[in-house]
Formats: sequence, structure tokens, C-alpha cells
Amino acid sequence: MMLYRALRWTMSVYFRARMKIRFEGEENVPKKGPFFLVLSHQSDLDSLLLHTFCPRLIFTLAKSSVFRTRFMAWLAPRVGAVPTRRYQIDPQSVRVALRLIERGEGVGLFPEGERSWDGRLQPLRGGAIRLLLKAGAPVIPCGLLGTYEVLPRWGHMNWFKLGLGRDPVIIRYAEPLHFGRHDDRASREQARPDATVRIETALQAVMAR
Amino acid sequence: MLYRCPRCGYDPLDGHKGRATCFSCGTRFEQGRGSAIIVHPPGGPPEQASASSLLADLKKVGGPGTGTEWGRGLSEVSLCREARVKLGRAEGQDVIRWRGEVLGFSERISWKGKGLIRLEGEVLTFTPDGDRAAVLDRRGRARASTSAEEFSCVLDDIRGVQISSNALQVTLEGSRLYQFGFVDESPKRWEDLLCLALTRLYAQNGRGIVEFKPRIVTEPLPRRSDR
Repeated sequence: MMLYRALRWTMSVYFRARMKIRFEGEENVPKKGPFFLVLSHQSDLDSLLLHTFCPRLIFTLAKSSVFRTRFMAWLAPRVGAVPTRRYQIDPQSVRVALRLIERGEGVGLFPEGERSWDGRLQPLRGGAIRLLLKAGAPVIPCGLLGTYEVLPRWGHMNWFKLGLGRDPVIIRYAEPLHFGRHDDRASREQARPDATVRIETALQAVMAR
Repeated sequence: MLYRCPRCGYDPLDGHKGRATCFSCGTRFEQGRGSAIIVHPPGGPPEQASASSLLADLKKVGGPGTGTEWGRGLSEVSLCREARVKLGRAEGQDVIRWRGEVLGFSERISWKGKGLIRLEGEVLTFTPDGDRAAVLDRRGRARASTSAEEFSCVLDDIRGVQISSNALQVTLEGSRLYQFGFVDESPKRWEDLLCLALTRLYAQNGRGIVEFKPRIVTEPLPRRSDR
């Protein structure tokens, strides 16, 4: 975790130099205990900003292709990234997420499964909602406002031009949602539609300007 | 993202490095700062448009499917299309560990060479270049390309479709993953195209697709009398 903390500090200096960043509702992130942070995925910057500025060290489910090079396979796990194979149902990433929650860690999740092309919220994946219901930990909706405007999915990353002279990026945490723990499949399936609507509504609210 | 003109529907849109021009109506699209898209209509002042409005317009003028310009004389209503790609196949996976614990797995993509991907009817095929162009060995003798690998599947075998880092990933039965890196086409177009073709295929059997990834999930379509 030393490397994670060091990189958090380095990246926070970089991001603060490049863009105005505002934080709202940080008190909603518990100082202790497990929680899920759910975010709408708008930009490549989302996970970088989240890992840099989240009040707690956080683990995030990331696509497995990020880990393809030797360097990234070494670095990414050390900064809290957990590989998920997006081309199939990946029980290992679910096991790891549940294990982290049991240990009292915070886990970041992008329930849309991929970045949005047009900056709007996409349908949430069933598997992500099932994971939240199975774990039963508090779910904190988080909005990263302005990252799409800085770097959309179809844009090109340029570390030297990133974000200068733009509106502030707002990192907003909403109050936690509680769904309870659903151990059996039938109960998860029963609770899923309602949970999906509640999370969607919360994400829309947290992303509103 | 903009593979056909959202203004007039002309297909394809000629684009390169954040700029695209429609050969039919002359509209130019240019990426401004961040997510701004500047539209230059011919003879008019430039205007700013959002990606969501342009994508909505693109859908209205036909999306990836029906259109008037298919370049190779293909049918207007069919979803036939071909493009130059680099084929990759997942061969095994690397185990990602941290502090002695298995965190997960990362697929190992092995590239099988360039060729032509073609969607026709309910079949998706890849024909490697090696089939047509002879490869010369060190002594100048013609030999078949050793890396050439053919690929063919019916749409019914596809279990998932998605984009990953500018390539289209297609998952077949048994979690077999194929990856197509497009040489001069948009992977987004092909994702939209395959999703549309799959939607039509399943609709023939009275089923609608709810999710395309990580695997295709379907549900019965409401009957006409129910609507």
C-alpha cells in the first residue's frame, strides 16, 4: 500500500495543477467498514480520480485487458485494481470483491460495465447489481461531474493538455443506499429490479449539475 | 464514433484524427476542446453540437444498418458489410496475483494476421490475406502464410459482443474470445452492426436482447396483441 499512497499523492499534485476539483459529500464515505462505491463511467479519468481522491484507499474492478502488459500486471494490483474479464461472467472477480468487502475494504464498481459514448447513464448490468445484493454492504452512489467534458471516450488522452481552463470537476458522494444481504439467488432476483431503479435514480441525481 | 453523416445519412464518413467530412453534403465535423464537437455546415456558420445529439441523429438516419451507400453494391436493407481487420484470439490467460492471492485473470491475445471480416446474412467470416497473396520465403519461393487463420461463425453461436480498446471482441460458445482490430473502420460501427444483426436474429424467434455483454441475455418479446 506504500506505492498506492505515494502514487495518490503524486497524482493529486498533478490533477490539482491541471484542473479545479471540488468535493461534495465526503462525509458519506465511512471511515471504517466495508462499502461499495458505484459510479457512472464517463471517462478514462474516472478511475484515476477515484483512486487519487477517494477519502479511503479503494479497490476497483477494472477490465482485464488493462493487465495485459507485464508492467501493468505488476502495477495495477498494487494500486487497487482488480481484473474482471468483461467478455464472460467472471466468478473470480466476484469472489475477490466479496472477500474485500468481508475484510472491511471499499470497492469501486462501474455498474454500466463500460464508458459512455455520449455522457449519459447507460443501462446497469444485472451482474453488478447481483454482486451488490449478495454482499449487502452499503452502496454509495458517486458522481464524477465534468470528466466527460474533459476527456470523452472518443477523445484522445494528452497528459500535457488535460483539463486546463475548464469548469471544475466535481466529485460528489451521495448518502449510502442499503439493500440488505441477499444470500440466495431467488431473493437476489426478486430484489434486483427495485435495486436497479434505486441505483439508477441515485446516479442520475448525483450526476445532475 | 461518427461513422456515417448524422446530417444526411451518407455512409461512410471520411474521418481522421478528430475530424470528419461528409462527401455528400459537405458538412465537416471537428473535435473541439474536450467533448465539444464543432459542426461546419456548408455555407453556414459553425455550430457546436453534443455527442448525444449527433448519435441520436445518426440513429435516425439509419445507424449501422440500412443506408443508401454501401460502397460495394450491397442491398440497402441487408446488414452485409466487410472491413479490413487484424484478427486476434485469446489463447490462455495470465494469473494476476497480489500478496500471494489470486486476484483474477487477464486474457492473452495472440494475433493471427490481417484479413477481411465480412458479415453476410447470419454468418460472420474472416478471410486471411494469406489466402490471396502469396508470401515469399527467404529464397523467394511462394509459400502460404503460416500465421493465417480462418474464422467463421453463425450469429447464433455468438455469446457476447463488446468493444475493448479500439477492437471489437466477440465471444463464442465456451468463452472462446476473438478480437478484431479494425484497420480503417470504426469498431463502434461494427459493434452497432453486430448488435443490430443479433437483435433481428433473436426477434425472428420471438426473443428480445436485454444485455449484449458479458453475455447475451434474452427475454420473450411481447406478442403483437399484447402491445
